[in-house]
Amino acid sequence: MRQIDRRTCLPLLAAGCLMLGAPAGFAESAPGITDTSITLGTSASISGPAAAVGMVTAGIELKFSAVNADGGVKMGDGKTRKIDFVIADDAGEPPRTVANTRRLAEQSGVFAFVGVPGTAQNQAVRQYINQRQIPSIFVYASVYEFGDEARNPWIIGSMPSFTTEAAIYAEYLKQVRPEAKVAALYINTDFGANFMAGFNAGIAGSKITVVGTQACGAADPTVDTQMTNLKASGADTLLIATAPKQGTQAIRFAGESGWKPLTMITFAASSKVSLAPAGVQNMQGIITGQFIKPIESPTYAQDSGVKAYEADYDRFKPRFQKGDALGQMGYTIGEAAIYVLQAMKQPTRQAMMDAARNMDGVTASLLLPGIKMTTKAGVDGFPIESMQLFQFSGDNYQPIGPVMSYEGRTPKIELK
Amino acid sequence: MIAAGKLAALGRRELGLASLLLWILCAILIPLILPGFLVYQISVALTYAIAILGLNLLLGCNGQISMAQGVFFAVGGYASAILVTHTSIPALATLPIDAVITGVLGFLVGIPALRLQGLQLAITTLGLAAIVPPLALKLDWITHGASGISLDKPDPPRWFPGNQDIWIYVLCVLGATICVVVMHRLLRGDAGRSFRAVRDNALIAAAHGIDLTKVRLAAFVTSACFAGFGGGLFALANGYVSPESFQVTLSLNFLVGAVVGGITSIQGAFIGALFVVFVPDWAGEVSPALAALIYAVCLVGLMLVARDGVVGIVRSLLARLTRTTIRERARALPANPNEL
Repeated sequence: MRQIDRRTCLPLLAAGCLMLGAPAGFAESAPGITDTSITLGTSASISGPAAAVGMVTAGIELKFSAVNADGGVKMGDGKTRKIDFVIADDAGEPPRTVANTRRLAEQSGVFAFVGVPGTAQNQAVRQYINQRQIPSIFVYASVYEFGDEARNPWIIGSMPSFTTEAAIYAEYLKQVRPEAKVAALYINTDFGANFMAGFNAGIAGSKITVVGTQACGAADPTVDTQMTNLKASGADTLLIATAPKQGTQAIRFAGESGWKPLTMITFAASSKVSLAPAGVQNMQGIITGQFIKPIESPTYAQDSGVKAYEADYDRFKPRFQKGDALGQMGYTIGEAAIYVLQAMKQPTRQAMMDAARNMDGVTASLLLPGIKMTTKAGVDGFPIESMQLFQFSGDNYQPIGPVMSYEGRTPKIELK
Repeated sequence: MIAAGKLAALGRRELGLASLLLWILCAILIPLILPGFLVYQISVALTYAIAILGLNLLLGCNGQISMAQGVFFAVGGYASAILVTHTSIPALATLPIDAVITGVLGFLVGIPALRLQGLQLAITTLGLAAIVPPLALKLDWITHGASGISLDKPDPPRWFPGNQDIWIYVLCVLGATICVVVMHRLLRGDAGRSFRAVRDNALIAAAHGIDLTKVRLAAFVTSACFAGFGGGLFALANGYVSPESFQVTLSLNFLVGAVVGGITSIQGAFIGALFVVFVPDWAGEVSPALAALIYAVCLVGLMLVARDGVVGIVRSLLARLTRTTIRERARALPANPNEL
């Protein structure tokens, strides 16, 4: 038998080391990240009936463009990377979100998803996201389940849970109209179901009653039938938990039909810009919970955060109006994502989730004073849990009370 | 004349053999060469191809225009999704159940619908296709409404060397192969002859003792079974169904796929399915704003060039080649056969 000499042995040893080392090396680095860039993606309704929600994506893009123009983001591992943000249009249709998500993950090789909007859309891809262990951070869907780490370990929400928001409205009603008869228009996904569950829990034990509820679809051309039924219920208070388009139609109907109930509308549909087609006269008096600064208010004229947002807006001229709360929410999600990139200790997907799940009082340019983003792995999966009530008056929203905080105590609901 | 017939027959046989070899080669090479996302898209295209195969049976071989193929596809998809999520029936076992359910539904729809023929049948079935998304929303206690149903995709068995995506692709290939074999057997036998006889001349067919209603109903039910089977496979391959998965455009896409591929051919169903899955996608990559326009231009262009579908143009090219060969051979023959 031939003896293996040193000359044969060395290359063999080297090859062996390479083979052993290779899998470990591959496991370390996730796709979509190099020493100079990171690829992030989103699938959003850029077109279709829910195109207003696409402004959230434009807001995220604005923040990323600003950061890139300033040289990139210095991440936790000491390297500065530019963000390559890939946007795919799903027209608000969940089956297209499924295809887009797979395409972005497998073809475009995104490192993570940021701010994917829509309840049904995120639910359609949650299995894939969790199975493939791709982070989907700060989804723009406020259903309770995205704050539940055990159910969705690779997904984290951004905005207050609908259960929190509904509880805040219930608290307000208990104070101002303790015997309110409430009619509710809600969207036929878990968005509406969570909202109503939260509201019903909030009014339990009070004299407030829900006298009528009507569901609507995201692609419904009109909500007139539902609104006619709600008006006929004899309610004096209207609760709207829908996407922007149906919210606008409902407010217009409530105003023009002479009903004029006390109207409370979810933050998701409350943007002044998307509500404009309802008519300013019909918007008077509507109440909504907010966490974003009303940038046109004189109170915030000299605010450094608002100034930073306006400077970025003027520099990159995104496709939403400066006062559009949806674009501003996107900008805030963008800032939260930047914080996570800065806090990631390693360039891995796990490190990204760890950073997103351990935020300690992170501030953002457009968050109202007193509202910060806080999460804790295994305990608190909701970054924002506070809101302040605003009422539309004149041509803008005015605050009508202090910030109501549910920090660490987002009302829970039973998940199916 | 006899030589020409032999050559034509040879052409057909060669085409069949070539398709079979191409099918096997592609089926093996696709998961080895293509990236995961394309394999997934091809799996979806295969499920569409099964529905289009059914439509070809109905449209190409029996002469009935149905726009309800998307309806049966949806029923199959939802049936699999509901059975997988609510019962302990193994995912693969739901597929024959889908075929049976849609077969029964096809029978129930077919009896009244088949009193109508041609365009009336097309419009009636189009109405059915339009009902599916709102109905799926209304029946939310079982379909989960707008949220849709997410289901666990079938896991590969331990002995299988590839990942889950490749396993699903293999299942789609096997499903499509089964459907092709069934279709092939059907068309070669008495059933196929009676289907075609009814299509070509109903009066003569009736005079030969063919029960027109029975044959039309049989074609309708068989086609529904194909669509249901394809729909079930789609649900397993996609892992998610919702009302938006089965809009009216789906039935239209199946019709487009059938016509683009060639309504009388088995190969055509696959070409058509690849067309409706990939061309809009590529058009979107070229220019997101002009995607619909590019797709439309491709469609119009293709119809101008290949009126009998892609398979039709291949056949006519082959026929031209065969004719040339015959002419050349004829020229080589002595002018006066009596000289031989």
